[in-house]
Amino acid sequence: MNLDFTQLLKLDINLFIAIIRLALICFASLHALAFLVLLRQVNLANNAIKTKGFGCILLVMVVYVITLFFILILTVIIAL
Amino acid sequence: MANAGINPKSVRHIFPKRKDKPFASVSVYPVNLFFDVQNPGEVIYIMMRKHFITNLPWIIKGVIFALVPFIILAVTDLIIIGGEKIIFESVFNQAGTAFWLVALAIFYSGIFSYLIGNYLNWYFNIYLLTNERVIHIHFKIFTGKIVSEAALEKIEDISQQIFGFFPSIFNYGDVFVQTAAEKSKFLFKSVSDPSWFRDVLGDLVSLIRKGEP
Repeated sequence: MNLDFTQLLKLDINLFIAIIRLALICFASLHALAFLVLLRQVNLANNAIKTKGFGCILLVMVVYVITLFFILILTVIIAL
Repeated sequence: MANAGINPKSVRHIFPKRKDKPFASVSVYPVNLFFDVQNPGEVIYIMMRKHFITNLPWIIKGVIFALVPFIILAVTDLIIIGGEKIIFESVFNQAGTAFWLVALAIFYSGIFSYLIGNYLNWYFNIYLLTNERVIHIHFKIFTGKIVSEAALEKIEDISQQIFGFFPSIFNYGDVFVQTAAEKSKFLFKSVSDPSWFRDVLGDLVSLIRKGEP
């Protein structure tokens, strides 16, 4: 015999999943926004200190921020 | 290693050759490096960051975080309550596979963000030694920027410390610079080869006092 996780903790499964959905949407939005701010800060840092290898970091950051927004959109579509 | 001796004759005597690699923690005569408050004619001799090994704690934490889902699954597989195994079937079925894949993507993007944030904190924490001054520029990611500097001619005393297990093995440590100003200490924290750096800084200060560079 197997014991289901929700039975063990006496959870309402629908409420539990709704809370997870909400938490994921909140986290994904804040995460994407925070990295948009970080991208701007990296740009400011580069204006203050121009170093070799910076273009590579900026490229990674831009791709990553786009990925985060893509994950956010996907989360909203799937979770709602 | 420094081979400047006690009475260096010129800057080339102190820093004989270029040592410059992208993403390195020490660069001598760094190419294509400029900073916003650089004076006309100011030459950068050394650019330093903390030793790369100081990044080890957050790299290890990141790897452990990445293993958390597997650890949870492995542990719950081992737990047996009243002769029954715990399963997550209802939770998985209710939300669907796509939802859990997105949740996993968000979890791993969080870990990647943690790693990239810490890396940028290290990368933009820079010490510069120029022909006029020592500068510490630190971008604290998400919080702000700290800049401190000390003129070379005001440096009075330089000391170093290599203290601890990892610093002794990987040869990194702190270099303290005492200046004549009221705020007297300037700290180069966890820099590579502090003995070499203390030596070349001392030689450069004595050269500056002679009015050479």
